[in-house]
Amino acid sequence: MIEVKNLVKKYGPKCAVDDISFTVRDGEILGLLGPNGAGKSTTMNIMTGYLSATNGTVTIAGHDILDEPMEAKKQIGYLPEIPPLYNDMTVLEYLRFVYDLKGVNEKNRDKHLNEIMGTVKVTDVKNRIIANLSKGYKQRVGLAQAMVGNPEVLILDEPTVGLDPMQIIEIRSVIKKLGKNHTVILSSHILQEVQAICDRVVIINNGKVAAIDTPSNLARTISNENKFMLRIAGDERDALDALESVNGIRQIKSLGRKEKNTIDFIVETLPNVDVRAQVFRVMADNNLPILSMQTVDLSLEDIFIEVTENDKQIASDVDERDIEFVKIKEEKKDEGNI
Amino acid sequence: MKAIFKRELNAYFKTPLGYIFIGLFICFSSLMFFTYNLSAKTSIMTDYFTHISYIFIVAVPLLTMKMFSEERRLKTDQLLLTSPVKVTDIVLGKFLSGMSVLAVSIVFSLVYLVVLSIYGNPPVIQSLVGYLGILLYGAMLIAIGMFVSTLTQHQIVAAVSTMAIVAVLSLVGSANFDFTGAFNGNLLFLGKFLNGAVDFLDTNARFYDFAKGTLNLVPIVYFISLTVLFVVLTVRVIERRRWR
Repeated sequence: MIEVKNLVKKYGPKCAVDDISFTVRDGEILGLLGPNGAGKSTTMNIMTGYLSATNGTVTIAGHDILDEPMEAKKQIGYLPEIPPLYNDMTVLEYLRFVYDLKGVNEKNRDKHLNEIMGTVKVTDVKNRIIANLSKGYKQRVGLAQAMVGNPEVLILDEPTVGLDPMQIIEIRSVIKKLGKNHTVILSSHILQEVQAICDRVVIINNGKVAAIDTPSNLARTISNENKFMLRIAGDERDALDALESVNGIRQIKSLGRKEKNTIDFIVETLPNVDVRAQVFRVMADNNLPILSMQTVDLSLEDIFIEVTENDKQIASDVDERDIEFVKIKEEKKDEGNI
Repeated sequence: MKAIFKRELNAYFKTPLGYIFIGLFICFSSLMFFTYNLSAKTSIMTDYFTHISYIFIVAVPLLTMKMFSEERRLKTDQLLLTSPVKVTDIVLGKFLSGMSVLAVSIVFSLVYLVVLSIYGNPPVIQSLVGYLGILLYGAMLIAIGMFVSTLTQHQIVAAVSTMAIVAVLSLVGSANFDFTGAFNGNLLFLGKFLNGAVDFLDTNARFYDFAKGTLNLVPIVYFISLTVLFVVLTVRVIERRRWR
């Protein structure tokens, strides 16, 4: 559906987009993920024909955005970072203008616009002046604008930025719904968002593609260590002693007490060793009930930091960030000797 | 083009700008009519026309200052430029909407000719040529103002620059510069060149033909070609900006 090939955009000496390539399949929701200034908006602006690339091509449904701009642009609905709204118009006037502007060929204009307004829930403000709308409504009118004419491709630049949590959830569900019969590309610096909505993720940093994969695959490729979290009722020392007797454990981190009379651990095993059954038996023998045991998947946040900063140190559960004390096997051993 | 034309025209009358333009034009032209026709007790409108053009110094920036500066500042140009519309159509839509407001004002001012016809015997054809002159002159100034508005994101900057340009164009002739006096001897060529430049910029001199009621090819070509030039330049600036 969409092919982005070797895209380069230079602003003077600064390279905002540096050789980005990816393809978007029909009916897919693709997320562009990256920190601010990574080149997401520039990439989207090039894809929609607002900017021209210094190098490289963008093909939308077989039409090059530079060579056949009219055909390519007909396929696209674009919601830029700042919704392009005319403050002096009412919502309905504005959408009618967009309808005429795009030369849409639907049989019944008002029916088409009513459907869109229903989908993004702006029907109740359709006769209000856009200038007086709240940020959330403006964003939704912006989304409605992109949907006018039912384009095959929707390109949404940070569609949920600046919205309150309820609105974010709403907009996300709208996008998810749209993804069923549109090809959607959205950008975000919010990881949960991409994780929740997207089929595939392109991570962009410093104008380069850092990784392309499904959110779950990305999590798997980067965390090849086996890690799980344990919550055990009982004394920390006893639990550590018991865990130590299990073969195949590489490292144990104590996360301290989160619940009364319990202790949490992160257990990291040697590669390709499953020790969970063993741990269960040992704990049972020592009369230390396991209250919970769950594998730790990397969140996209971890992947993100991992991929963009190549920092191998931080890779695990988010909780671990605020650990108060970390005890490693060796330390504990020393203590024991005293 | 139609969609943009419609939107722009609507915007002129949703904001006070359209009314202010028409109001200014009517007030000023009434004043001129009173001074140069009623008080002067003549049905010849030449003096009326030669003076009416000065209102453009203040009025034209009102029409043009927002045209593209505001689109860029509010990022609404992202909608226009990513829609399947040619840049030329966008520019023409805006230009024609400005022209429409001017045309409406001119239609209002036709009432003076009607009044003159009732109570006197004005040369109707010659007067209509004068009105045509206002339209062509205004078209050129609107094209220039539109071009200026593509160069900045601030409508005030666009307005002040346009005002300055229109002022120079309409007043430079009345100043009667003669550079051959200042640059004589070896620099005479420079003086002649500057005189030529002033002559070229002196749009009022071109307009004077219309005001007298003579339909000359030269001023018509002058106004139309400069209008076309600035419309084309506007399109070029917007297209070039993508590559920046």
